[in-house]
Amino acid sequence: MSFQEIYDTYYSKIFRLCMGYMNDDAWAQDVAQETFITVWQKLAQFRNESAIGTWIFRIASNHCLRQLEKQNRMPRAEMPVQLEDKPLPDTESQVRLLYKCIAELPEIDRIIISLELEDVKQAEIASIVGLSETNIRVKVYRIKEKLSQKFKKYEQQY
Amino acid sequence: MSNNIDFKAIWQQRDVVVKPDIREVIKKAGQLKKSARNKLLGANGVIIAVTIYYIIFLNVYYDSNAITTRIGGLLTIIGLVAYLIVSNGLLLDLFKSHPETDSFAYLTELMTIKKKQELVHSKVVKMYLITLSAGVALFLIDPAIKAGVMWGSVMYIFLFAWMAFVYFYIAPRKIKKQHAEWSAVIEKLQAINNQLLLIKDME
Repeated sequence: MSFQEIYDTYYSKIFRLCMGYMNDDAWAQDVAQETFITVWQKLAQFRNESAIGTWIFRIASNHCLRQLEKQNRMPRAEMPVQLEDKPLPDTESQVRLLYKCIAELPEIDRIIISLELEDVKQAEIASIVGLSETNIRVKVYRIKEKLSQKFKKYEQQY
Repeated sequence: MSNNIDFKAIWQQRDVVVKPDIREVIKKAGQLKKSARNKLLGANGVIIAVTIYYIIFLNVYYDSNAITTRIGGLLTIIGLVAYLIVSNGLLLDLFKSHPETDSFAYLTELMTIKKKQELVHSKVVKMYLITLSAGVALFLIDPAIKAGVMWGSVMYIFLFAWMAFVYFYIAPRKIKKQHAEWSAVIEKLQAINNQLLLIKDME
């Protein structure tokens, strides 16, 4: 797969993963770009030991985790669960709500659920994060439960 | 709706606002490489210039045959070179991380790197200050003798006062500040790592 093909296939996926982690357009774009810079630099070293997708998602996830060094941009995760004062059900605000809810989860949960929603197989998620498949299955179930509760809570407010 | 929310469908609706041109990404990758190289050349350039200056000063402008001056100059240069080697190591392979490994391995690697940086940084700064101080003290013996007892003493009093100020005040403050930053990062890395360990314990 050429870099051009990788870029075209994975840019949106990586951007969404970063958005799930940071919930900030500009920041997510920066991290997505950093990811592809690393992909570009390391592509020659890629040995097909894993699927190319797993390899790229690993780089992206680790770039997201590394963002903790840029502390002053970080407070989103600690923000209260309070959401916008706008009535929900149109699609646009549901999208925003989902990303916001995800960005409020603990760091590893954010990565796991973002990959799950991106349709990455659970076995692959396990090898991206460094956990077992059983761990991932249980964790995904719990995170989805947590997300549903957040949505419900929001609905009750309006 | 809440009982069966199709999160995947909502997730996929998030569009990319602006997808940067691929050429920009490639260009930026090249620029990063160049800036890392320039940083390295810059750091080396300063130290090489200082070293050359010392050698010229010792041999041309300050023509002294005193062994203390020679040893002092040499010690100072050794300190500079050691600092150069380590700071290059810091920039190069010694502390390189591997973002293509899984997150658990990556976090562990980052924590080890930060701890190593912390250790090396304080040791190198201290070693650099010691060789520099010893080097300058030795270097000045001959000129101090030539300057006479009074001026010689004044020179050494100022020198030791300055060294004490740097060693006991400036350096510890700098090291402390840098270490506080690193400790905060290590703490956060540990916290994320603990999340992974907790998930592992679920089994």
